[in-house]
Amino acid sequence: MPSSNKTNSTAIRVLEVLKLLDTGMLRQNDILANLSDNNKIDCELRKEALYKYFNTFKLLGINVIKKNKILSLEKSPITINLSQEEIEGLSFIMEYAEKIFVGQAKDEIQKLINNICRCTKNCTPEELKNHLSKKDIQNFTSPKNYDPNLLNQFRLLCKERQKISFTYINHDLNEKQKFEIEPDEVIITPVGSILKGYNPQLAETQRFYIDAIEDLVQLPTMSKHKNVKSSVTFMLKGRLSHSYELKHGERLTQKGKDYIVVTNSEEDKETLTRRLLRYGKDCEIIYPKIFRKRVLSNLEKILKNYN
Amino acid sequence: MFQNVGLPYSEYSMKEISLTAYRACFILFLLVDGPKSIDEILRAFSSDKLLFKSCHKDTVTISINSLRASGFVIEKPKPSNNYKLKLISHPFKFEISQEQAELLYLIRNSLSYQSNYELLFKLNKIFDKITAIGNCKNCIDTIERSNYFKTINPDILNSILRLCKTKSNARIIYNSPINGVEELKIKAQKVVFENNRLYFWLYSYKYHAPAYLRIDKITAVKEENDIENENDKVSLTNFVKYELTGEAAKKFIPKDDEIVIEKYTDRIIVRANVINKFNFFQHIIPFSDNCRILEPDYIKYEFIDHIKNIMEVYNSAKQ
Repeated sequence: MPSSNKTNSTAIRVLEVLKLLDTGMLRQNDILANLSDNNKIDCELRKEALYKYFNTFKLLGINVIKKNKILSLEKSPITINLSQEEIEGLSFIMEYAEKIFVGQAKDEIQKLINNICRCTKNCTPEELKNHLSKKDIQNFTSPKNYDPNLLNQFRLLCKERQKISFTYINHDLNEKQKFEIEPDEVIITPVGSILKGYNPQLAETQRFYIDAIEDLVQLPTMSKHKNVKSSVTFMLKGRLSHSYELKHGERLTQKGKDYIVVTNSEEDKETLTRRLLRYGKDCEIIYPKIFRKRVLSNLEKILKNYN
Repeated sequence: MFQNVGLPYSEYSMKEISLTAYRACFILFLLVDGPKSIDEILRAFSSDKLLFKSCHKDTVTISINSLRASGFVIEKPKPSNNYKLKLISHPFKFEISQEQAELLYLIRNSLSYQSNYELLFKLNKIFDKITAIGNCKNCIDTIERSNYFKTINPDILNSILRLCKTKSNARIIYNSPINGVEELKIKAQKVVFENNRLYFWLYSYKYHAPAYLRIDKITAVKEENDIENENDKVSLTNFVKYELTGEAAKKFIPKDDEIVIEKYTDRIIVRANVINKFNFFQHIIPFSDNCRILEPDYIKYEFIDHIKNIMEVYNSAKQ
């Protein structure tokens, strides 16, 4: 058998023993019985072999302990060593979560951090705060007008997968508009928190600044987020057509020598239009016509600034 | 009381341990520490007191196969993981819940809007550790959705960062979408994180122009101090003043090379150090008519031409 398929029966036996010890519920005889029923193990394992493995584990720093005849591992076999940089990263996550989350979300992150620390040799949750890097804090831009309770509320709305309706204040146009949205996810950016959601009427994903949302109501209708979304088709030419990597929710619909045609059905149309405009004259929105018009009117507005 | 099982460290002999077991667990712990190439595993073998004699690729492959047969999911080396073996999931008890995975995704995704690649890189390292020990495939997929540096080779990035610190000259191998693989003589400038990608700003001696290249397309970097110093040609920056109004002004956060020089109730004036004009135009177009270039005139007129050129694409297709 070539080595690409070959396994080693001793290696498999020892890994199976490690897995059983990790359950922390078995006596020596239970482990032996369990192994003899295991179809991955090709021979009867004896007590002596078991102890040979325990010695090996010990050499690798994994102690097997016995309490009331139950054998278990002193620490998780999944132990990690964190570098100073990684400890700083974990410390930043803890500090950031402390600021942006409330309630259950905050507890969940703390639980995860405690769990990670249990698997490390060189870090405890208590010590973590002392490892926060000053540089990371200095270079961090706190999100504007951030309200953790509001974020929590919108996060829960996304999880409950029910439609919501609200009034949205568009400060640029100085107008208010009604929306009915299937909430999808929240994003915290330095300029404000954003709700991303699916608008079934327009069959497209849209983004809204959370602090511009008013009169929010959760509707008794479930989200049917998997609805067919309206798509935008665009052509990329020249250099861009060679280097472009398809984004989430995009597919290649045509490919020529020096051009490609891409259909995007995921990105919210406003963000997509902005992104495509960045590509300059190497990009042309083909369909739908309304977006072509939107791009043109946007460009005309920019030009008017210089008249 | 707990009773410790097994021999004390000092009292083992080769008869009382299993070298195969040792090797399999050794590799497992290496992979828990992070993705590793076969060469890296062999290097770790060579410095271990028990494994230095088994430095053979086949031995590693067999141990990896055995780990897989025992329920460990290990991704094969491929370009997207920098040709490293990566532990995807394991049968041990370290659990990450879907809720925790979604919160981690939210944290990393939100921090990517900070455009602080150094912080993101630091976080990625700890995220890699978490995904290596987590045993829930779906959860790991959720967390990985916000990993924007997956295809970056850390050695290449570190070399580039070193070059940028001293603004040094170097030769790089760049996999250009147009010209294919090419060698470029460059002068390093800076690394920026934009649109979820890392870019290397540099001056190309070959094209006598500033350029910004995607770091994941750079396959080799070699510092070279003997490249003829063409500093006089490397006049990289143009100062551009532009005005922002409306929500764009209210929500504006300056980039590294920008500074708000005047602030009014309804508008702000920004001064930007522009290395690449196209990139600058890309930056201001999303502000739409909330943005107006004030000076210098030649950049203003180039921008107007740039807009007219895009409009022409749409207008000519209409005819």
